[in-house]
Amino acid sequence: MAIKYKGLGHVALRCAEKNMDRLEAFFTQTMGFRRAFDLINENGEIWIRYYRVAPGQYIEVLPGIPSSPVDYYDGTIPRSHHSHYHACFEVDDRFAAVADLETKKGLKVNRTPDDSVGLCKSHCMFVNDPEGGEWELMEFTPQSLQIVNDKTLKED
Amino acid sequence: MAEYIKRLTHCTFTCKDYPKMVDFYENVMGLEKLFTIDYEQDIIDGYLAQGYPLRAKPGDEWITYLKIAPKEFIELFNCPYEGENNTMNQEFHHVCLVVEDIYEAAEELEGKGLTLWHGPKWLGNPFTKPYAEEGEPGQCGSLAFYVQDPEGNEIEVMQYTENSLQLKYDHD
Repeated sequence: MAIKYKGLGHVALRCAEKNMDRLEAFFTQTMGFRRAFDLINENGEIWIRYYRVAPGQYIEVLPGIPSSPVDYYDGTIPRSHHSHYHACFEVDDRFAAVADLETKKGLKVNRTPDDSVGLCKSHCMFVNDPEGGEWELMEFTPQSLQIVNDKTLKED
Repeated sequence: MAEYIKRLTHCTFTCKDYPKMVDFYENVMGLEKLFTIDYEQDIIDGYLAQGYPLRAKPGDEWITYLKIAPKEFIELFNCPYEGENNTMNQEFHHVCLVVEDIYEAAEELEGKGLTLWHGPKWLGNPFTKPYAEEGEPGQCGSLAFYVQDPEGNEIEVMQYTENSLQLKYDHD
């Protein structure tokens, strides 16, 4: 029997200890996500902090506390040595996103100079969090392969 | 939330064994393979510039999209990475897929030969039958177990409950 999936629930990240404040500022002040709740370990330390992205969806950050070394990373291994490449947020107004993130908040938004779509027929832009992690910002078009290939979205 | 951000829409992995990863997410996890995209030369040049040991040529398959839910996907790149994917020394910790029935998902995946874990595999706590006893809600009030894909990436499978903090705090 096929598993009944409801959605992509969260992406969880480690944080190099010295950068927790910067990563929190990125998700709250820059990206605009609300700090939702914390899970606290037996030592009274923050084990996981949740930021709400959208209904039912969160970013989890494990702050890299000394008592939980498996949740800490040192940042010395380059991206090209890992399988994880990026995660992506859907945006519905790429111009508003650029105006807010780059013009207003000073976050570099990497994008095609001619506003062209990618091979998937969606508009794709990229930003980096303070740890160096890449986040894609994607605006679907009526021709997006992510849309036209999904039989359940035909009515849209 | 910034008004222009609508959702988390995908999580992407590069793959040393792309066919095995596609097979895992399609036939073991049971996600629908939605479409593929082929390489073009400028894409290849981009990966090489980033240090990826890529030997693809234009026309080779580059990407597979697998659907979790409408507009929510796992994206796989047919692009090998240089190192060993040390899952304990990188920013990415895990990705979570939400299901309707955690026990049904556990039966399905264990039946396909996967070992299930209570927390990431590196904690060393197998998630075994009877799931109802092992799978007491975590501190967040949700039910969950972990599996690993063929490259070692941690996948959390989660069911929200009426006590889930993910639902209690699910508002602007």
